[in-house]
Amino acid sequence: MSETGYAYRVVRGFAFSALFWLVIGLVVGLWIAFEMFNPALNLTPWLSFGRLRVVHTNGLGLGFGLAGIFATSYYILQRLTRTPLAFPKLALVHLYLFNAAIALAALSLFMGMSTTREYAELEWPLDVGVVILWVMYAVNVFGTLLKRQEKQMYISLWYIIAMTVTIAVLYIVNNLAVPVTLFKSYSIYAGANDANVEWWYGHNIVGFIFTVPVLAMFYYFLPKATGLPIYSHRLSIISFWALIFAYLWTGAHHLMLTPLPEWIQTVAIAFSIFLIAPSWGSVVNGYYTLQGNWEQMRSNYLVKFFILGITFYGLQTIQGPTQGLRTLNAFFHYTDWVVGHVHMGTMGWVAMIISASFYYMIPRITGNELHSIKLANTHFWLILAGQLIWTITMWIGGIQQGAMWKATNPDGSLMYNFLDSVTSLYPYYRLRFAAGIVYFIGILIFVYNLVMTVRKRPVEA
Amino acid sequence: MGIYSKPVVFAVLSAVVILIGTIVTVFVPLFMPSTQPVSPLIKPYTAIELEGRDIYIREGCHNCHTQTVRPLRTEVLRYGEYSKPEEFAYDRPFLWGSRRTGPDLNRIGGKYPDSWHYRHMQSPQGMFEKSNMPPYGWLAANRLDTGNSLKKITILGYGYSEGEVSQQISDYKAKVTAPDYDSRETRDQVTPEALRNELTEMDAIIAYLQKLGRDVKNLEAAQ
Amino acid sequence: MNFSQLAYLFFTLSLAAVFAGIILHYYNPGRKEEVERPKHTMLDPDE
Repeated sequence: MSETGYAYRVVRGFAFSALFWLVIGLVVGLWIAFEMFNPALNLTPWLSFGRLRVVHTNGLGLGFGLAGIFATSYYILQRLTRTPLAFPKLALVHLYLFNAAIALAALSLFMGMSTTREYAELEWPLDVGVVILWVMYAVNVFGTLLKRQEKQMYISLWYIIAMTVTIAVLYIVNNLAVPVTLFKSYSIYAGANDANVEWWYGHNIVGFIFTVPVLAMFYYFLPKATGLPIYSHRLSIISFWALIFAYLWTGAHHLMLTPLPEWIQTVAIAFSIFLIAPSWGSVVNGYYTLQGNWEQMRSNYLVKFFILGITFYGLQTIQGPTQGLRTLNAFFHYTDWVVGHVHMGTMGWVAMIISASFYYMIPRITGNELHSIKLANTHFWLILAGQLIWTITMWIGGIQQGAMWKATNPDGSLMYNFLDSVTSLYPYYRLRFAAGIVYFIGILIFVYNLVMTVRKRPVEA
Repeated sequence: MGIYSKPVVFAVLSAVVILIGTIVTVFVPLFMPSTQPVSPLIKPYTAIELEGRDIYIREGCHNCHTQTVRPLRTEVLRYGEYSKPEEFAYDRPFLWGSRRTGPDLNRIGGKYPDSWHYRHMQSPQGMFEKSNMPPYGWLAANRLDTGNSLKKITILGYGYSEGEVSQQISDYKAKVTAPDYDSRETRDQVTPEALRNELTEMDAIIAYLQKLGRDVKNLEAAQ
Repeated sequence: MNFSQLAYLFFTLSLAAVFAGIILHYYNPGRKEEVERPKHTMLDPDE
């Protein structure tokens, strides 16, 4: 506890849990990236691509993403309410159980216990565990909010509340299943309905883990790190309500041209296009906050993380609705283009904002200065370069694959067989692997920098 | 300032706001029979096909293979007739997938003989040198566990009786172990000697693959 | 226009009206100072 009584041990615990799962998740990512052009790494059943890919997505989405969200939101919550956590011991139990759950989750996925629902692959006993963990988190969020000293809730708190409520709804509805054994269950929904429920979840879990709480970080840490108030509070109000309203309608743009009823697809396209507005509301708010103070891009090492991060968010939220349009979707869907799209969001937006948030937060909770700003800059340039090479490679590869699938000879027959389209991508897959290595080195520097920061001297936690 | 200083009211209001789109696009379609039509021409999976499907799920095949042919000219040329909603009435979970690292499989059934699949699963690179598919030969070294088959079929409501389920299992075992099974030679090559007279996980996953897109041909013929 | 088309149009227009209402409410010049205050208070020292 600090002099103010803020609970920082749990913040630090979650921050380093996030870093741990980040490194693990990236190692798995590199492993499967290699398997894509050389199947020799499919050494055992549990190292085969089909099982490993979900370890990568869950490890980074749940392990890194959620831990980063818990770390920053426990911090933001206490600071913005000027109130210590309502139940600091409960938060520590949350921390330990969370890490146990992620380890069990990884183990179960290695063993092939998967429900196949993207980003919800965990089998039912772990789902129950996730719900319990979420309740523990929600108790602290609302407990602290109810005790708060600062009457007015700032933007970041709205996003944290919306995430807490929405994830609960999404997770429970999507994971309803009938157990067969302890390790196997069947969804209660069938066929097209199952697809519709899953992609309503799949799209919104990305929205409410990789967008909403990251915006909470952005709206809090950008003003704090720069000393500049956010450009427009009322714009953020409009953006917030429009974002959380429109998001839930758009899941079916993942199911374009499938047997799902056409009207659901069309409604999803319409709301996807609308979503550009609230997304760019936040982008504009970020850019204009720096109005007249752009020299901070050079003088304040944190600002470039925030500005590049929000730029990738802006690009992401234009690219997403665009590739949701039927005609473009017919070309891009199922290719590596989409893989590139996802990774601009995760490697660009999410990782940039969490990096900057941790750089701001860790020195403040430990009372130590950051170990090295120079290393933080190196980290920035490596993850920027790694991510750009990574995603651009995948976009080009995706265009090539889409074109090869569509190419026909003058007589109307197909020009390429499927394998041609796979093998033509191997050069891109090699370059993607190399870009991943660059990115990974950047992340290792990030982790090293923060470890050295907390190790400077014994910390009063 | 109103709701921004009332966390509980704010949370309730957020819940209402997120539920509107959810109700219209997800909950309402759940109760519309037209979302997932059922056809008597499409039969539920047999016990063996279902066990094969569960192995497909366990190995995460859906991470690289889709199961929806879109109504696009080149796609129909490549894979066959585009997917119809009726085909998926028994799919819990659905396995449409989101990425085609490998080809779509919704019309794979009957495209190749069983022997092709035994050989291909054993060593994709033996058949296509540059393929990046992981080898699955080890599935033939695992005896198929049918201990939960009846329970699974009951939970899924496929309507097969206990007798029918055990009949399906023994029939399929008789088929693949019969001396005149047309893929006998390849099956024997990939299956360890001790399991040649048993059902393996490899047998089941191939039974599942051969089921994909088979019944829908009756539906298309009827239309 | 049949019933479902009319319903669709009505729904779209009412969504647009709600959206416009929210914007007009928060962008009312008389409310500006009150609406914008929290962005300054969040910068106050909190330790």
